[in-house]
Amino acid sequence: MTTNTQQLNRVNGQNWSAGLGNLSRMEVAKWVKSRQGLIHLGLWMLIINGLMAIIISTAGEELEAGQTIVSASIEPFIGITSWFTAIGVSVVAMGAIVGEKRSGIAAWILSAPVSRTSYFTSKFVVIGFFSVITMVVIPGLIVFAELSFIPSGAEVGEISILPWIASVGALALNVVFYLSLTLFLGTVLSSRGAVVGIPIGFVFAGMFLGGVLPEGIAQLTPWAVVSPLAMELAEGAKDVTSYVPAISSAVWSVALIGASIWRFNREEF
Amino acid sequence: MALNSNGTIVETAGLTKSYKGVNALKGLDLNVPKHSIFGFLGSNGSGKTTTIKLLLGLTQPTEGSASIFGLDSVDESLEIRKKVGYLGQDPRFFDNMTARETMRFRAGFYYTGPSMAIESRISEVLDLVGISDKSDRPVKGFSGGERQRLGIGQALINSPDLLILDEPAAALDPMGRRDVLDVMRSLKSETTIFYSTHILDDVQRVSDSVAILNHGNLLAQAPIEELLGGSGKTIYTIVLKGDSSEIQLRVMSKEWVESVDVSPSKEETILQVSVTDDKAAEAQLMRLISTDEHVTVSEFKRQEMDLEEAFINLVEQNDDN
Repeated sequence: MTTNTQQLNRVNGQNWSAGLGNLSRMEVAKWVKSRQGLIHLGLWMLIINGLMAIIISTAGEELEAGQTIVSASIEPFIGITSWFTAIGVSVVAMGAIVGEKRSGIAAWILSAPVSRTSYFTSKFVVIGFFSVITMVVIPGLIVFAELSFIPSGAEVGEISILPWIASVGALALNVVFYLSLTLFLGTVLSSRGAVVGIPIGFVFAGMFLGGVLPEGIAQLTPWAVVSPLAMELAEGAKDVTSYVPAISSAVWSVALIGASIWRFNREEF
Repeated sequence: MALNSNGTIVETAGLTKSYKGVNALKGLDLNVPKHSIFGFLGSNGSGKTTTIKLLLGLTQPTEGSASIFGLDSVDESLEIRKKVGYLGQDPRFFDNMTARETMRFRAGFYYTGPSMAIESRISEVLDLVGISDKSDRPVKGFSGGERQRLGIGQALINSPDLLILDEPAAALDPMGRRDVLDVMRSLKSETTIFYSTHILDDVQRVSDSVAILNHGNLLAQAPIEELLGGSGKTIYTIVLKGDSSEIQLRVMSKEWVESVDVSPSKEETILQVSVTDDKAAEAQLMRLISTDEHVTVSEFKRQEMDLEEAFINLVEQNDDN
């Protein structure tokens, strides 16, 4: 070994963030370099924008009294996006931790000067960012553009950008919650099936139990908390209590992230 | 490079690991000298990999402690891992990455730049482990041997003060094994190598110190010459033709002879003479036998204990106890 390694600048990080930059670059490369990001974007545009194109083009045919094409299109957009992206992000993230634990890659990475908090954080931040962009933000902006460019008429209705952004933000929160849940399960379980099955169970539990539970409790449960809020926000809701589901969802996400980091720091490899 | 108080690189004291009440490692006291090639020997399930994981902070001890470079393996694990290179038992990498990308990823945990110097270091290590011609191929197409070479290469990227290799030659063909052992020998002056294996021949070829583990118990730890010296007993194998009954009695009467095992066959008798004083045996045994007119010696050899024998003896003694 002849290289004078003194020419090389040593990494100095010693705390919780040791290895974070290198791990994050690697996670980003998985989305960008392997074209995973483009594939996801294409898939989500096909699902969300494809379905919405059909819905918008036919919405004018069966309008109820007082309904416009815009208002008739918002509900399916929120429904499709919240359900499909909750399942989608769970599938995307299911192997992120449990897969690497089982294959031995996690142990290999953690044998380098890497903190376990960095390992978890890099996955959460990068998967979260690309999932939100490809599943919610870009499809949401395209739907906004589709609704904005419908030739004007009395039955079309109006759409404003700020409520729409708020609504898309609520849908992004939904993605973050399901990502937090899936990654948390990856830290405590060793089966990919369970890691993806439980969040999908939550999605369906929300469908069936959301309407059964008293409203006050339903707003605090970790499922289906965001869809009604996203709808109200898109329609320009001003009621302060509307934001309870958002706060609840954010608190659940933070709790799951904290629990994941705590658990992962105690993982035995 | 900081050392432990007794000048060793790795020191464990009563290191114990239990999984659900079952002890995988029982009170291990280990000392690995600086610049040694330390063979950590044991059969499958003996606790070798558990020990390595404890040293790297991948798992936590149930009792006891381990220190590397004088740093605690639990509280100062991050600092330890900066100076250690590690190859796992069944090395796994990201399949879509090429060998060079894998090395670059690993290097990113130790160096921030300059990139030219990092690339130079990567090329140098790829060359050292003999896969520079495959450096731009995705790892998923690598054979077991190539993967192992890459594993050794990535473990060397940070010029480690301690190289920990878990079964580095197990998946290799004889040529690959020879190459890996050559690489290990060449690194001896620059680093300390702690490697686990169950291939006794490899240990005897390259190690200067050995520890033997069985069912989580440390059976022996010594320089290899000392271990092969074993109990100080030497066995002579003598093949005789003719009536050997008289010479057997005369050999047995010598005070430096501990035992004589006799295996008669058709025309020959094989004596296994175990002696306690090798010098006396060397000087007198052959002369003693040749004085007997009833026998002719067709074979006479001093049987040295090899590592396999030492290993089996120790393990069997431990299992009997």
